[in-house]
Amino acid sequence: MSAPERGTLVLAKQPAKAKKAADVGDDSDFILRSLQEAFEKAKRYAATDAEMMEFYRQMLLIRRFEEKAGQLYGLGLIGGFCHLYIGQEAVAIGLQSALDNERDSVITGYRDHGHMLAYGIDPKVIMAELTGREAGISKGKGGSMHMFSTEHKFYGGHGIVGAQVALGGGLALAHQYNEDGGLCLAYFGDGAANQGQVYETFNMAALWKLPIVFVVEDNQYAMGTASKRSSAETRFSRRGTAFRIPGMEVNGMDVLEVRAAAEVAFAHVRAGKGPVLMECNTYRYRGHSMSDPAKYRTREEVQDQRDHHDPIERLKKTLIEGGKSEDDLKAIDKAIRAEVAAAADFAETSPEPAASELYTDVLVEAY
Amino acid sequence: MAIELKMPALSPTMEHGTLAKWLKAEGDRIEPGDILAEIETDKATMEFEAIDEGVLEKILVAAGTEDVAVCAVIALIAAEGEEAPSVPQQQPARAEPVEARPEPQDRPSTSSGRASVAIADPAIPAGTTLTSTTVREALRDAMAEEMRRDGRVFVMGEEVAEYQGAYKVTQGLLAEFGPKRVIDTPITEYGFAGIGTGAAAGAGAGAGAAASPSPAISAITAPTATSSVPAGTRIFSSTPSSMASNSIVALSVSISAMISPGSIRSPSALSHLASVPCSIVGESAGIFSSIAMAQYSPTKTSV
Repeated sequence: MSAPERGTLVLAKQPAKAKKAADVGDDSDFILRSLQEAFEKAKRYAATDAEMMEFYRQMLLIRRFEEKAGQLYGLGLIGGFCHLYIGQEAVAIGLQSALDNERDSVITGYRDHGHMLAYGIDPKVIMAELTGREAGISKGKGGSMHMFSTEHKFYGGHGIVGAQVALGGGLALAHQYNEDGGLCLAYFGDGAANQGQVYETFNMAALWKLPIVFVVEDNQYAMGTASKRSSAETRFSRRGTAFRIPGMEVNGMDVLEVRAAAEVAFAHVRAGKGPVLMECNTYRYRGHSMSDPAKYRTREEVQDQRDHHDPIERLKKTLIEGGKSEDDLKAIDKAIRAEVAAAADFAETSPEPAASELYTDVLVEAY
Repeated sequence: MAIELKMPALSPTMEHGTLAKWLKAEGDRIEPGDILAEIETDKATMEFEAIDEGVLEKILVAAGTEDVAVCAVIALIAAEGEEAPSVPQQQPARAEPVEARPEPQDRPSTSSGRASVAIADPAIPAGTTLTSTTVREALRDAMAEEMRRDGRVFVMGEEVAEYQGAYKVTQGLLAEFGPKRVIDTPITEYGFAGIGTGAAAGAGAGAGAAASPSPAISAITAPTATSSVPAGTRIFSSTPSSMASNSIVALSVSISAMISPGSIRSPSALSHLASVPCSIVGESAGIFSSIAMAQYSPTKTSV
């Protein structure tokens, strides 16, 4: 044995013969469970032109909507918190494009505008919710963080960090209980990934083979704390192995890669093999929320992401290489800008809820 | 010399218990390991196992007798070939519960164990017959009623299935409803409080139905710690909208009522939960039950 480096812990080397047969069996059982290999085989989804144009349109819609929301917040039309999804569009669009909207459910935290828009819900009612109007999707009573649409099987929209993971486990249990063939897609962030109930949910999901895909949207910062400063293990996809949940590491800035990952993960879950833990590495260009001056990172870092990793630009490049013209794509942008402007107008002029609405949607029955 | 069978202390805090049921009759042969009787303590109903061998000569404390002091002689076992023993001097000790009870009522007879108790309570419709039962059984029966009524109701918690409940609050439910609806969990309360809520949220909305007035799956989650007493959670929920995140945190409803010797707790609060008119007769050993309902705000979304 060579001399150990100063400061390293030297463990006595165990002779191989001393291990019992059971130990060797245990060791081979303890592996880094992973679907990465399956994923690597088809890492970018082979989308048709039409599919790619749709991905492009949807991501651009989120981008323009969020930019407008930021603007309205600055004008004082949106109050409370407002967490923008700018930069992370590929994650929601890529994953949700693979969902079976008749059966599957989705739950996420408070950075939920993008996930809602991915359903094709009218941007007017989402913007109106942000501005607290009655026409909003939660009747103006939820705001940015509490958007729901049970019709679309979208269960929010949650303010408490990490709470949605256990709820997602419950949604998956309901799918299993009702035998409806659906799965739950539960998103949470790199900060939320350290919450205790996340691991409690992992354990039960794996124990009962619940049909759930856990998605860590790792945008590298939990508000002001870089994930390097808060997580002992920053490769979040490895965190399921303790519960025998296979992991996947995905480039969240590439919608085609995200979609390909979804195919692998959903197939695993639908085959009844239990949960999957997917880590999507992504980035948010704006601060944590509108109230965040974002002093914890450099402008250069953000610019670098914009210049070299932007998901919309990447797809645009692929589309142009595939034969689409700049004009085709500009036309989409123009249409979206008009749609978003209309949504903003609606949200500004739409009436607020009546005072009587204070008493509704509070209790299930009368007491 | 006959062997005196004495009332055992089946928990560290037990001073009195109820001799609920004899499983052997006078004249029966007793082998070590035989279960002789069921004894109700302040926390659970326990089986009293024989360690001696012989014939159960005489039962001195009848089934259903309450407030039997620990170490009181409850029966005599004659060893092989013995004569019939004389009646021992020590009488089973009894507490004095009668004057402590505030309202006049019929003392339940020890042999039948069940008698109607008159209680004036404006919330209960006139003409309702009442039954006296333990808190534990009332909770269990309430859960069973709901589970029979609606197939979407399930109970989930620590030791609720195979162990029949840490303090037997879910006794018989696994046998009746099966493992899909009576679910043992790991010791991860925060996790399954969330899972229970999420299941209730997700199950109701289906096939594009408009907002339904009835709740979705009601998940009864029962976190029970080793040193605590029966706890049950009823989650009234349909689909949560705003404030859902707060309701998750605040969701445990633990049901435990402190009943001191001789007092009778009004049933209205519990019956509201249990939907069963019942009276709870105090056990002198003290069954813990205090009701703490955390704030929650289940809501419906607009669909």
